[in-house]
Amino acid sequence: MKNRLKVLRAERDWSQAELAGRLDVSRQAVNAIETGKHDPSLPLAFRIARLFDMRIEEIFDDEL
Amino acid sequence: MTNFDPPRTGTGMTEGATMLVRFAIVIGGFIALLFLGATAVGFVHAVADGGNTSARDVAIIGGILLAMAGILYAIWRLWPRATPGEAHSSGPGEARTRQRNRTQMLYIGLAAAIGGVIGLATGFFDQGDGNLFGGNWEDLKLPPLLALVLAGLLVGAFIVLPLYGFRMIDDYKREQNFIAFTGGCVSVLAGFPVWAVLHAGGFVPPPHAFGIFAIAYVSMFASFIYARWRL
Repeated sequence: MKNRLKVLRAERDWSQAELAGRLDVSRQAVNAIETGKHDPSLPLAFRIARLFDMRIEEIFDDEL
Repeated sequence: MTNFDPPRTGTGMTEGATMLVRFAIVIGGFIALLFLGATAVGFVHAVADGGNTSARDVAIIGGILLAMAGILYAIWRLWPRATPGEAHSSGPGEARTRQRNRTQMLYIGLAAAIGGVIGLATGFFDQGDGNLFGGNWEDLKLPPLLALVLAGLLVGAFIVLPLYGFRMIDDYKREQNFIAFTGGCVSVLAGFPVWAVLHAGGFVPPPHAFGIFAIAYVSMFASFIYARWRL
């Protein structure tokens, strides 16, 4: 599943470690999600959406 | 198997914490290597005294050497590498990530310390001719109290720490560890009957408890490497 996580993170000038800490996950998990290797769980997807104040479908899209 | 990775770039720690981690890695690595080295040397001596070397002996020595290589690789991966100006990078998220890494390092150090204590204790206090990892553990004789303590430590190292670690890691790493555990489990489920049938056909020695343990462990490790590579 494609996502805009890397773009959203870059817009805020956050490192992967910074985003990982804000989401309470490992930096490796952030990297895996950004590169599309790993799809986050629904609770994590909601945390990501809340952090960026967006809806889940605005961040993740399986048709991108 | 619980995956506690260090950050790929920089330590994210203060200079004092970095020194502390390096010190812990050196001590833990030294104890683990000393234990495995002593085990390997003792086993080689036992094999040499026995006169004939079987394929199982070679496999056990190979496994010990593989474990030593794994420890050296782990030391290399875990060694904190600081870059100037990075130790004090700011942000609440990075602070939490640093705390997370420190906690994980603590658990790695604890697991290494438990392993070292078990290895050294069995080596120093063995009253028989046994070897915990040499295949002849039937001859291992320990004082009853020490045996109880070591059993408790083994339960902690192989059950409590991994299960507690599962609560600490995130979904991504949990998925990797599920793959690793699944690999170890199915290898044993398939490995024992396959081994027994091959033995019945005269191809291999009879199934051995340590062999089954080794199959589980090696398969788990290989599955974890596969998961890390694929995911």
